[in-house]
Amino acid sequence: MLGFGIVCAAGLLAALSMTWVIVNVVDEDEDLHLWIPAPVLLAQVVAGIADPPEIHEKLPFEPKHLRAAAAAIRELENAGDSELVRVESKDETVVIRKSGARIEVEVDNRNERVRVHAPLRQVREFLENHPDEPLEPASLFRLARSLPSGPLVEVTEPGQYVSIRIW
Amino acid sequence: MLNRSKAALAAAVLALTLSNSAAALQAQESPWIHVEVIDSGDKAEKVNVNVPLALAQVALDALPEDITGKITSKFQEKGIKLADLRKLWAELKNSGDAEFVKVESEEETVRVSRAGQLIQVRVEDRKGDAPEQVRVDIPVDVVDALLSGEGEELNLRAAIQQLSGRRGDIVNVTDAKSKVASGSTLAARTRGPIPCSSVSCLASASSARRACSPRSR
Repeated sequence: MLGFGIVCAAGLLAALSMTWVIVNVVDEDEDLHLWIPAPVLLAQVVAGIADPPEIHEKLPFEPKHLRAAAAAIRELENAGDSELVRVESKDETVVIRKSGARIEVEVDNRNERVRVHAPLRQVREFLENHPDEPLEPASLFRLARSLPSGPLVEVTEPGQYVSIRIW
Repeated sequence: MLNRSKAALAAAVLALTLSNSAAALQAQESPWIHVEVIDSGDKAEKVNVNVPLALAQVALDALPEDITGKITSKFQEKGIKLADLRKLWAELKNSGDAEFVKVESEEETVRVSRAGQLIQVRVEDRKGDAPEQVRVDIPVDVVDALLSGEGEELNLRAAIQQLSGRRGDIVNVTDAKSKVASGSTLAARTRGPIPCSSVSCLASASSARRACSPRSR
């Protein structure tokens, strides 16, 4: 009995120490509320076992561009908090700003509100650590596992809300 | 003994505060490039892009052939040799304040002149119903640096380095479709960062614009 308890506690501890991705979907029209927590490692293992060809399709980024992106992110990390881009039109406002260790993207229009919170350091380290490997969707699991806790994406539409959060 | 400890602690706190202030001041003073496009036509669109100048330097270091190759090919398309440009510049840069070029026609006026440490290019295009004004102010040192390369290559890296010491407008393009206030404007200037406190920037778009851009107005 004690052994079972220890195994359960160890399992719980291991699960808690993993990076989890939590997908939250609320659809008021369909009266639907989905809350899906999943360890990124588990998703990576499942994807590895199923191994669909799509996750090995090369993403269209050349290594030199990825290196440039990593260097640019490093500069942004060193810069102070600032508004980097603002596009205002009659229908839509798009703002990209550096806020602390993240890049925040905000898109607001009549029907949609989008918020993206991208951590700078983890993305930069991911790009720096795989400088010459071709980037493919499967390699993004590694990035996901390194992400800090917090919201990643939030999309709000009339009657609908979708969020992806790392925990 | 206690007083000495207090004094040492106070000195340490003062040193830390000063070093933090110096770092903050350096961050504030590091040059940024600001691009502002205002289109008050049908689209009524405003675009602001603000990036540290260091980012441009990084892009140049990482993608030198991509960027310089495109510029060089533009010169070649127009039949301009950089060697000739360098010779011309060597003659002009010591001439003092003067108007180098003035082309006037019914539809267009183009002026290139030197005023102090600036090379000024002014283009007034009166063609059609959308008159356009272009104002380019390039510091002499930047032109010098740009042409300090060899062969058919511009030295963009050196030019950006020189640009980092400048604050103010570099390019200003105004394109008006009518004499009323509608039109589009593009301006690029170097300045410090646009500070953005998270609280003020969470305010509404228009108020955030004011709150976040105290130095850009």
